[in-house]
Amino acid sequence: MIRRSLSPGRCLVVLLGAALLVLAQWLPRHGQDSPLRVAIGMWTGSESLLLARERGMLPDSRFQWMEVTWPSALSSTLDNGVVDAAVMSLESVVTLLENDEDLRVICVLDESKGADAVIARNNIHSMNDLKGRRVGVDLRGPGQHLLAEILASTEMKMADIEMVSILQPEMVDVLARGDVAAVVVSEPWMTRIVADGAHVLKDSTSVQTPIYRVLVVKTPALKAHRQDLKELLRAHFAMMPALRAAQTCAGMDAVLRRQELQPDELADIISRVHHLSIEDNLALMKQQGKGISKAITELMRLSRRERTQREVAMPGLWLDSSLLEELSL
Amino acid sequence: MSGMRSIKGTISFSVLLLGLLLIALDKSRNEQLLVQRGMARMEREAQVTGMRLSGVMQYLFRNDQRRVADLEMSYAAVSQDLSLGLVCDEADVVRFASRLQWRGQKLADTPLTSAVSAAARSRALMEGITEWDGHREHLLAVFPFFTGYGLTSRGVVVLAYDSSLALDRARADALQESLVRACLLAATCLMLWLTLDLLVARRVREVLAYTQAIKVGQDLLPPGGKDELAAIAQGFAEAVEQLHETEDRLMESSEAERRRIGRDIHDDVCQRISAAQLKSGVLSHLLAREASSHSILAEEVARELQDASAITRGFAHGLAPVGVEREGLSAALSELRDQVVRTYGVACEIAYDVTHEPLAVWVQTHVFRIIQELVVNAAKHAKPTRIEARVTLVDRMLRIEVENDGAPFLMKHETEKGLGMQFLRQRARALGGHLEFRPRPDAAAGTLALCETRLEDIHFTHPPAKVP
Repeated sequence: MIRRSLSPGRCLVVLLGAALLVLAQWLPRHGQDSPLRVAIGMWTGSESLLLARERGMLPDSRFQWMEVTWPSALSSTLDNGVVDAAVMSLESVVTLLENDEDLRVICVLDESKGADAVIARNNIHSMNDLKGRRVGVDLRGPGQHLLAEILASTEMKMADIEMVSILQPEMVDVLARGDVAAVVVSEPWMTRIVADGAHVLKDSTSVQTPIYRVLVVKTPALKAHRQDLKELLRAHFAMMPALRAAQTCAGMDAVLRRQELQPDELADIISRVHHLSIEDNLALMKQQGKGISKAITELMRLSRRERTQREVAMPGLWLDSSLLEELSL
Repeated sequence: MSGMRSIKGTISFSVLLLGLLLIALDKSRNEQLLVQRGMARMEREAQVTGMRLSGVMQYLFRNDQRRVADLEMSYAAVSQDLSLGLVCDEADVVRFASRLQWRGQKLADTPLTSAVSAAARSRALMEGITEWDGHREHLLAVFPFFTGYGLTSRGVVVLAYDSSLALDRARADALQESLVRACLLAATCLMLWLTLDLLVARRVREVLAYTQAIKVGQDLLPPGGKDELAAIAQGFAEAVEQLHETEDRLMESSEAERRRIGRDIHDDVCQRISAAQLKSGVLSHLLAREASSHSILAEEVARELQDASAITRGFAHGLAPVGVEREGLSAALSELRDQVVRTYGVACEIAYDVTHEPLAVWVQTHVFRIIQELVVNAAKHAKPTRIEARVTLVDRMLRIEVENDGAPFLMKHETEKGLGMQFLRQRARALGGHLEFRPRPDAAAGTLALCETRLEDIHFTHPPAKVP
């Protein structure tokens, strides 16, 4: 009986039945076909992605966009899992990592070379004039980092000023009303504020730890949307030259309307944004103790929040260059 | 029996086909249901989002909270189905949008040109409007609100939903559900096949083996158990038993009738013929002494009667070979041997070694008939040069062996043969044994027919003491 039960034919039937049951259980779900949800803010350097979308390189069937003007809201969308990927400053990523370790930086889009700055009204001429004055900072962006470094370079401390939390979109009105003496602001808000008569005290060209904008993703999306993420990166690198040219081309109208900029203003901003190629990225992400790893370590130290020695010592934990490596092949 | 033609295969395959048919029918119904649900869900979402945004926008416009309005539109974009959301002021200028590039544009210049008339109607009625396009692929929702405090300052929230993704998902869901069901059904059918194979087909095979064994004369116990197949096998066994009993009775009465006729012929007719022969011999001598010409005729009558006596005695031997001989089976077998040698010209030896334990007459009769049938069959069909038969009894084990060096006996044709083989098997069964044919051991050709049976007291005239 037992020998009969274990005959090859019956074993095959049992295996086939088990395989069908496993197949029924693990049949691919359509969830994997849902579009990649991407949150994007107003940072001008990342308009390459919107340019690609307007040109049909990133179809709506595969990419769902959430355009958020508030950096804090942008961070929240990723933190809450509303989106799978987002473009944000490295400072925002470090802040998110306080609570959510399920994130990976997969690409450094650009480095600010003067596109972030401390801007003041006409009666403020130097950083020293800010002593005892209110300075508006968006705590979810690179503002705090930029302000700390600039103050340090002028032998000032944070305690010498009164830092107030203000959202980027509010800064134009807040500074115009005189509620603050200066604001730490990023593009494209910076161009609007300067156009309103304010002037730059110090910008990101003078910081030691660079200000990076990165593409950060939820770790599960790395597997579930790997192909979409590669398409996203490929589109960014493909559109980077067109954006840098800042000339009339397909989709550029949408970028200008979205940024509320004129072509020459866009060109000026882009000239202060250093876009990084795939090779630059790999060099930046692969250097142990240097490049992006060093920046993360510095930002973690600056955040003054409690971090374990392991996390500070191994910032590479938050980096994933595998997609870029695949693209470089 | 091939897998598909077997009961288990037929049942499993039928269930699979019927199940697949039902799944195919259900897939279309399920897809329709999921699509309707998807569209209803989208309509509800459009109404809820439209009503919420119109209320929020009214407040934000009146309080000049532009930045918050931007944020509201950002969150509206969380919906996977929303292709574009716009908030227009009373002049149809887009003030806020889920895609920021449309801010400051006229509604007619955006991808939602078709919403201009719906926006006008919505403003006029101050009611929300939701409507599908002709193909039910796009849903437009327009909800009005007051941008200021005057009744004429009416803005609209315009939401455009694309149902293609949702409907594709619904269809994919239905397909996937059907595939999952098909996989489960196929697995269930395989398990059903296996279960039928283990529980039913195995039992059927047991019953089949039992009937085959009965057919070739083997005495097996019917398959056990309490299921229907066991009942069938038990019923079959009882029928076979009754048949065997009937056979035995028939054979016994037939044999008894033959013995009676043989004995009557031997004791009566043969005696009368012998008397007539004796008298005709005496008559012939008397007539010869008187020199009568009729003496020759009387002598011829005596010779005719002698032949008639021999023929009649032969008939008597054939009808009752055992019961009529004083030496019983041994003498009958000797007679048989002589007859075979005479008739077929084949060397024949029959050894009988059971004289010390007297067998019952009916047993002797069966033994004789078995040997007679086997020896004559061998002489007639196998074309042997020599036939040997042995009857031994050791420890109540009666063993009848008949072997010849002729053509081998073909088992395949055995069951197709006539009544002779059937009667042979009946006689073997009547003795409590069975008959089998096998190649002669240690010989290139020939056949050994073997019948073995353990005898009980009933088989003996005076039963020997049983061996402990």
